Amino acid sequence: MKVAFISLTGCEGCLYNVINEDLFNLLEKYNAELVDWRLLGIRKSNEYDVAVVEGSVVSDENAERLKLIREKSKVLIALGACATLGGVQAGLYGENNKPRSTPLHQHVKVDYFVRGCPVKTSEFLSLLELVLKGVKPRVYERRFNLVERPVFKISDRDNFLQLDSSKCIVCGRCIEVCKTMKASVLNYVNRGITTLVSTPYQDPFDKTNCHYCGLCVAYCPAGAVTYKLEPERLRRNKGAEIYIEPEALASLAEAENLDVGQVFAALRLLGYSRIIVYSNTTHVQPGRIYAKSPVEYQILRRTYPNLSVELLVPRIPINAIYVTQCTAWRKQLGNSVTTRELQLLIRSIPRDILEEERENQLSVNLDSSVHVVSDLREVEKAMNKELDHAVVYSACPGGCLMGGGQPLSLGDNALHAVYERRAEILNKYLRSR
Amino acid sequence: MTNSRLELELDRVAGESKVNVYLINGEVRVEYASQLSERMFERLVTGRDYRYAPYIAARICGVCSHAHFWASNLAIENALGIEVDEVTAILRDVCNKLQIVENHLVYLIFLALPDYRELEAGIVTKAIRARENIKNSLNTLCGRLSGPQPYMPGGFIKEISLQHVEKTIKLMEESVPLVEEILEYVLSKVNSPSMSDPSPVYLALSTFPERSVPSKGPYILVSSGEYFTINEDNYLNYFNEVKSSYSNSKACTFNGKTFFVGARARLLANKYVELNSELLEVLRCNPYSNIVAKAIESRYLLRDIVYKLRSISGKQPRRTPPSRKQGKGLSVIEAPRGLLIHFYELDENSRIKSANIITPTVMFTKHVEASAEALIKQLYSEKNEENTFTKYVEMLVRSYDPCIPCAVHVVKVP
Repeated sequence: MKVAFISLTGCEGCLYNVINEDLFNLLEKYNAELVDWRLLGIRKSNEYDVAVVEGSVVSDENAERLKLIREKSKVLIALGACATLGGVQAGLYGENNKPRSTPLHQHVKVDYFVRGCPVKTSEFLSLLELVLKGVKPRVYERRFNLVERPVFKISDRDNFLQLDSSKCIVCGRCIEVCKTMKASVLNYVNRGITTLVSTPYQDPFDKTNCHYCGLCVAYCPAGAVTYKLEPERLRRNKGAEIYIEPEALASLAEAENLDVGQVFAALRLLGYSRIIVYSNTTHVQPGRIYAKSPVEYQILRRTYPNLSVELLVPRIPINAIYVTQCTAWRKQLGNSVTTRELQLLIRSIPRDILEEERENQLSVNLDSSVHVVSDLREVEKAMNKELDHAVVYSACPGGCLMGGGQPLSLGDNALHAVYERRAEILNKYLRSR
Repeated sequence: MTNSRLELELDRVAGESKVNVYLINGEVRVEYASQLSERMFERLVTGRDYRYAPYIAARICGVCSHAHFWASNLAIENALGIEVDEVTAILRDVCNKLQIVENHLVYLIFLALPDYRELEAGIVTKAIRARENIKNSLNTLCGRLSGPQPYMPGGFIKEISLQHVEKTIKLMEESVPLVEEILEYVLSKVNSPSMSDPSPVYLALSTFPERSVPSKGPYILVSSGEYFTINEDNYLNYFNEVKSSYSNSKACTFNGKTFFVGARARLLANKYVELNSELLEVLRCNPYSNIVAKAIESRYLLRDIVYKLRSISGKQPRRTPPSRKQGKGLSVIEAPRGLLIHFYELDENSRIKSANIITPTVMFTKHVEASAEALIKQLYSEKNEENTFTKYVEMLVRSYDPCIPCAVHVVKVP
């Protein structure tokens, strides 16, 4: 094997560092011959198998020389920070605001990268040994190659929930909330710089534990997890009744910076004559434990298999529209939309034509004999005693106000601030009734 | 002598460079041109906080980065009115001297000696082993050979324990016999070609080798027996940098004269080793003898390092805070290849307003050209073959040990 050590624009420190007894021993051991190393006065041949290039490309001459080197060599190793990244001289900008100094891989294909300023000699020697042996250094892939993060999309059969890993910034908020919701579907995969968020074995969501709470969508700051938005569902049954949850009403008002009355006006403008503020907790009977949505139903069934739980199915006419904060109901019911979908339509209405609407012909029954709990320990307590009220389990942290189908808030995006604003709007609305 | 132009590409020099020889109407003109692209470090540091400057300056050259690192730290300390304590000064001096010896060993074995004779394997192994010892001790004291970061303006940020110092002393004591053998080899086996220096002006710091630099300016330079005091305000009166059309680096004159710096200048200026008159005469007149000066200096410095480290005797370096926020600072130190000047001006936020770096290679470029011209004239008068004179010119340039990455660090700051 013929080995060449070549320097482009740089401080020569990396090549200077690897002049070493071990290097010469290594070359001798594998019968390799040094054919080009100007610092040591070796210029035997212009043909070589392995080219070790230090320094970055600053001028056109550098670029031409590098292309020539690539043509001649079978293996090209970029040595040091200048060759792999551009080095300190990349801090200067030339024409068109482009860095004057560019790394090698922007010009030619580079086989292996050795990083560092200067490089660690032993690391370089271990790579060189593998190259001289003719072994492809698989184990060192991440150390010697540019890392490409795997890009994949995870979805389910209906394409309802989607995870696009190319948008993921690996912040881990979805993982936290997935654990909180006792699903633990999403988790970190891979190690080091290739770490990503995925379901186990990149399975589609419907093959996993996922119960479609949708909080990963609500918490993702990058839009990597989304659910299918179909605002046209609202237009399909135009003129029909619209059933809206009080929580959805409050969060919509908060997110769009509207008054509750203005939301009603907007719904009217969208073509819904009859608006009913409706909560599925109206149908409860005292002494029983209820699940607010399929999410809670599944959690309770998994945790307490012997408990008799009833699912609070919303009683909505088949041709009416149900606006909910709950992604699980949105997945289950064909005539439901989430608040985020409704928000898309309301945004298209100019603000100045929305006048606050005072009079309402709303019939709502919010009974005080319902205890909404969001902690499983509370459910456990309720299981062991006679109850004079109904217990509704709602698992989302913050209740349905912060459910998976919540709209995107425009104001201060800190979660507690959003929650406080929505709670205030909801309380104000309930008090006014 | 016919009109002709000759291009010699130089191997065995840090960086790529070229010697152009023009023979026109009996006149000889030599151009020594750096081939590397310009890297503009002075523009890189301007506008940044002063703490960045040493780390960027250390990347000017991977071969002598300790010198740049120290010079940059020192200039900023002078600008901010920091006066470091004795132990810090000694340790920094030791690091610089270690780098000087390491550079000399690489120069002797890999760059210069192959010109003179086929090297014996034994001497190469010894040199590599001695260099490995110095590398290890630099790793112990500073973390690494090139791009060091053990200290910042004000003092050390890396802990230097007694074990570190003792390990360095042990390694140096092991290396002394090896380096002595190399010196003997150089003195006995190397016969410099005879020539006379056309401009025997040399420049070195008066405090070398006791100190590669006094802890604070002004700096006193010795030039052929005369003394000059330079500080941040007057240094540009003495040193005049010119950018030539044919090279990517500048060239520099001192008081309008071409001059040389480096091991030979240090030895001649400060006479820190007793030499017989014959050798002294060769050193004074013959640019080729730089190789001998480097060998002598290596042995001297190794003993000096051991002595300096013993004198610390377990004391720890302290950190000194800056006493002002803005100012101008100059530092002149003895780098492996000669004088190195760093100058920084800091604004009221301690950001770098302007910077200037004059490196040894820039300083002796003119002298290289002048002595190469003299050599070619001499060779023609002796009626030598052309291929032998290219060899002698290459050897001459190599004897100065030019460092091209240092030379091309700069263009004029706009």
